[in-house]
Amino acid sequence: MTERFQPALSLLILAVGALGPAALAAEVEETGPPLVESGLVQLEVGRQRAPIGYSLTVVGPLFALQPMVARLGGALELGPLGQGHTLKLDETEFRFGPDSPALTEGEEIVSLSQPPRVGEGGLHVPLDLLDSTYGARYGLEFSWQAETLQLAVIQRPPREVAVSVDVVRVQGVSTVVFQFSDKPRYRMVRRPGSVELQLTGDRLRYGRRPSLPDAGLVRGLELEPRYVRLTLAPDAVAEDYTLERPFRLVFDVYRGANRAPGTAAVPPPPRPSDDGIRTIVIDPGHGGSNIGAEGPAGALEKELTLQLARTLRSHLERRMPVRVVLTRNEDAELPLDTRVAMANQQKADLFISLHLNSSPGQSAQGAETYFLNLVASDERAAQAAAAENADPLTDLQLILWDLAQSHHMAESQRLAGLIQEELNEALELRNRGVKQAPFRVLMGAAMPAVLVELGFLSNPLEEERLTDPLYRSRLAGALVDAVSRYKAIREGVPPATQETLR
Amino acid sequence: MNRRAAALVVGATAVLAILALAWWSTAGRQTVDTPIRQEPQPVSSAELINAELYFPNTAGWLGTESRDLPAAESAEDRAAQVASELLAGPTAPGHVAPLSEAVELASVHLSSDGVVYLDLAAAQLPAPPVSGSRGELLVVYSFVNSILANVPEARGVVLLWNGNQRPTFAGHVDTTRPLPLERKWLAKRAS
Repeated sequence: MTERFQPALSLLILAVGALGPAALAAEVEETGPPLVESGLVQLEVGRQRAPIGYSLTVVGPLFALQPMVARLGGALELGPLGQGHTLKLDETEFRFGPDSPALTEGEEIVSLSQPPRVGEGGLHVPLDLLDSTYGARYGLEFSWQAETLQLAVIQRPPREVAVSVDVVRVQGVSTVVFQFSDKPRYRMVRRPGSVELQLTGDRLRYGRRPSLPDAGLVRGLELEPRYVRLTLAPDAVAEDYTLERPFRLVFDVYRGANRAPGTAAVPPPPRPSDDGIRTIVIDPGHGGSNIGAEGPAGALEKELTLQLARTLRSHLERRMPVRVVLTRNEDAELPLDTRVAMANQQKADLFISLHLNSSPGQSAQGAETYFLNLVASDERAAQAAAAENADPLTDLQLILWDLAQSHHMAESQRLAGLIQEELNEALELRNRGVKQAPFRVLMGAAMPAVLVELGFLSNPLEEERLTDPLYRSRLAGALVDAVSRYKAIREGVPPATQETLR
Repeated sequence: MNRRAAALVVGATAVLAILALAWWSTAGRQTVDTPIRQEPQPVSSAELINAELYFPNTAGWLGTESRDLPAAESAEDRAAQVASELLAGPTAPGHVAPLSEAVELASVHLSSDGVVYLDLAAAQLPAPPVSGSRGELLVVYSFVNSILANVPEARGVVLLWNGNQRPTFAGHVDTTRPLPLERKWLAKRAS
């Protein structure tokens, strides 16, 4: 559903509201597992008890989320009809859809036992959603007693997570690496001159403790069981990212705008530029009844491209100051021309269409990146184009087409080349190279536009990889590295970070 | 000539006639078991023209097959011959037919400006089968390249489906404009 339709959707949801929750519930019930019963159950938080709405489907119980938020904390933003909702716990945003059994936290995608549904007291969510949000962030445990219809919420005893800390200083950048024995539950609080990692429900046990380099950009490092605080030099900036297996949290600390004389090779924050990259439109290929390619084990291109697009958006927004818009954020059918029209309407600086490939047989593998084939590729093709130009209407179409495309052709090729390089390097995929093709979804884009085929679903091995969220995160990381390099070239500044998010 | 010799001549003539009939019935339907030039040809080589056909292969490229086809009366007929050969399927291992057996050639039209309009039809398929972009490119350029390589009068190919021109063939490749020859999809070694 596009943002253009949101006013209409708002009116629609008001109309549905006027009809009463039952109408909305009836509409949502059609898509979820069959309902067995519904009513009220007791929510126990400490010594307090309160009734909350509950539904039981053939899959399991769901509980009203709004009263839970009122008691446990956080903020809930309900999206318009058919769109996603956001549960914000401190700095962390969890997004989930009305009809989708999935929860996203940044680039992470968590599968749920069943999708949320509307019932008594508003939106009902399954237990695993509560575990993945309040459980992971606040260390809460949810205990459901079906016999007595009671949902008890208890605070888990703190978990001890081992951590080692390293600090290195290279070419004016101080890098602080925290390596954990298990992924801790934490939130990050940034204040002027410091960054604080506050543990939520876990305690840290320190192994290796570093000594800080003299006159470094990290002036202090407080290592406590419940928090870690980095005190920074007055003009220092700290960027953070995470790495997996084992889980690591990394801070790159460098000088900001007021860098000291003589220091060099320091990546300053991107400066505003007329040629800057501010808005990126990501297009998850296919959707709705147009499923795209299907793997031998049943993986669908339309589903994986949507998950990849969401992960890529999360990576991009975290890594650089850009606005990222998805052409679709749900399983919806969208005409190709509408996708590129959205990019034009959003005044996007880049358009990236994500696809997964297939071909006859199962042996084809690897990634390939396309940009539009605008120019006829051989003499006879040029003759064909010349023949077309004899028709005045076609001539006009060609002129308009050329105006929209030719200016961006070289930039599209440059972006495609960077994407292909990063995919090859980061993932050791078979290099199928950069190619031109007359893909409809790239036609008429008033910005550099590429179509990336991130692997062959027809290849069983690649299908298995592509269904792994970690692998998809690595793919997204490679794409972010490419966009970062492209952005730096366009803006005349170094890339946002030298590391690849993996 | 005695009666025994006459019987031998009649018998040999009958065998030759049966062989000629068998060849005639299988000409134009090439299979792995019956390659086109295994038997002596009843027509002169001047009436055959060698055609280069491009079939999708299992490695994701277009593989080449060479076939001798009867000389066509017109460029339009030659384009139809080529398209029919592609639909009939490949003979080389590792090659696959671009479309299923349910698809047939409805019509071919060569315009005065050298554009071949190739109408593919399948009663049970309102649209071409969906695949990944590479699969679609291979299907499209199997027809485009094969026709343009063998019909010198043609400069571009427009693919139609059940009589209609579609925005894309099957969701990726634009088919609103004539497509020119693209050799980059050919496998580096002809199969």
